Amino acid sequence: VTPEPLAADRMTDQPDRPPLGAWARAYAVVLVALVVEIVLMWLLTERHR
Amino acid sequence: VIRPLDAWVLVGSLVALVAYGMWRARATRNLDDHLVAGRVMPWPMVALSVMATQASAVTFMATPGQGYVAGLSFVQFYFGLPIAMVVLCATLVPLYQRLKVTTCYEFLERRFDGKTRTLAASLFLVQRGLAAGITLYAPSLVLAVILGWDVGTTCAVLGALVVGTIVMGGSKAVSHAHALQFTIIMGTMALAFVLVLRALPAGMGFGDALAVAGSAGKLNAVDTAFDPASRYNLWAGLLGGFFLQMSYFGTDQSQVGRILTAPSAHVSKLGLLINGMLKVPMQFFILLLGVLVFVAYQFQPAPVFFDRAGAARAANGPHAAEWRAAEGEWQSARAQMAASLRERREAAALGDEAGALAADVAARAAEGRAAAAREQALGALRATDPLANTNDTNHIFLTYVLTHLPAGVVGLVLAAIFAAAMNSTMSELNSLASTTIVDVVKRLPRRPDDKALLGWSRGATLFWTVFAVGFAQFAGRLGSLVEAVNILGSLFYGAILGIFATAFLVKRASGTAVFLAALVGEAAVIACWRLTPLSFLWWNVVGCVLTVVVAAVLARVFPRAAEAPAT
Repeated sequence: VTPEPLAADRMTDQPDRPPLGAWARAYAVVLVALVVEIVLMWLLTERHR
Repeated sequence: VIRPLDAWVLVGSLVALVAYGMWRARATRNLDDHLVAGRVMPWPMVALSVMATQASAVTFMATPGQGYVAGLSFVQFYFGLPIAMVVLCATLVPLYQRLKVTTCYEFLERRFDGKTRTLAASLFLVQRGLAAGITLYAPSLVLAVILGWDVGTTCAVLGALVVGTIVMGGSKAVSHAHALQFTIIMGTMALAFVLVLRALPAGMGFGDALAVAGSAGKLNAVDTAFDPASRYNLWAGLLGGFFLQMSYFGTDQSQVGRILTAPSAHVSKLGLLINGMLKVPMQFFILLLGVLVFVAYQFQPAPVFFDRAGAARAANGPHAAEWRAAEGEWQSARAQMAASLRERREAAALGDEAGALAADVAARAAEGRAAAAREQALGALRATDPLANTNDTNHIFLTYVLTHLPAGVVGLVLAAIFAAAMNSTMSELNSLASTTIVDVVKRLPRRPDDKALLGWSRGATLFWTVFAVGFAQFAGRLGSLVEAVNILGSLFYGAILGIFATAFLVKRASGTAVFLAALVGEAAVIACWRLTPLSFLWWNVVGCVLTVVVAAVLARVFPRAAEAPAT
């Protein structure tokens, strides 16, 4: 019996699937930068409270 | 008031800005060029134009003032912006670019119907027309103070300067002028930052300045407490700010118009994401500049009231004696406070904790006396003129610049403030004209031809300039301008964003359902404003969520007839 291919394999088999990534990575960079900024400002606030 | 060198720098910069924009836009021939710059702008231009549009003169005059008065807390207003940029890049921006719309309200007719488009466009025209008055008022105030003219006259002069550039050059002139203006602005603010730091007392470094600001409660950048009535905290910024910025960048034509100058969704998205990366740090530094001005004024004399015209009226009016007594008490208390703060620094440097504490207590007591004296002075001002504006936040940074920065730099800062004013006003007037033409005039039963529409577009720009100049006459009564402009936007943004959100979230909603839902959402926002203590950032959430929910319910009564191709 041939086992069912894994879900991830099935996805990579699709030839016309757009490359996951470039924009998702850009979005992630923007959001991570926001989190870092908020944490830094929070530290500044707490230090001078 | 202004020195000759500053006047030359100011006039030279203004002439160069207008000339540059018009020269770059000399090939404007048709309506598409005039409204969306022929859709050829590269991503750095889109990013600069988007940032310049939001960074009005209000930002550069009122934000340092806001920092001086209320510390860094206002930075939280921008926390939702990067999230909004990401969501817009994934949803509305690709859609607008695919449909090749000129205004975002065109999309609403394709998805819903004509009356929904008209409603959203009308809400935009009213809101943005009034806001244009505020953005025009801020720099007019500067010009009025330094030239000693009436603020109404300076409003008209500035309006004429801006309208000239747009009528001649259209959207292309706006984009090119933005790039140059924004560069001047950021360079000048950085220079001002360095100069304020250098003006601190000898031996006082950046760290010491932060300690002084911190002990006065000005380094309050992040407030994690949840309080619906407080204007700025982490939650209001992230959630309320997200809704406000979604609406501003995604459904306000003054921004959508900038985003649509890009040739593709790819370029538009890059521009918006750059904005998302830079906005929060930029606002943080502008507020910090205000905080540093506060620290600088702790060690040197400051006026009891920063609005010179108001102070002069009170000092020469029937309550002059009270005013002068309050002013004398203010100066003496402030001198005492500065002396105590110096003692505290010296005691801290020697490791004398008890001495530092005693000096700190004396400084706080003197500060309390100064605050009481200021209240007395404001009382004298109100007694002189019951309609006087007693909020001087917008004058603080300007006063510091005029009295402390060297010749030449003052002219440059003033030019930056004007550049910022022209930036936003240009985008606003250009977008008001686009919306009037595309969403109103083009849909008239007897539509003018394209050549005539270019003339109509210029006429619409003129009309909205006159409207903005008219409203600007009342803008002085609205308190801190940076808050006023956002409170005004928040009155309308929720319902408009709700209409667009319904297009995505409620597939079966018809035009009638969303139209009625938007009216309910708008009524709820007005009720929040008039009847509840709910702070303005939350109005955006209320308006948007209510519009979507009511549209979803009404969709059962008024279902969508057939699938529209747009979504």
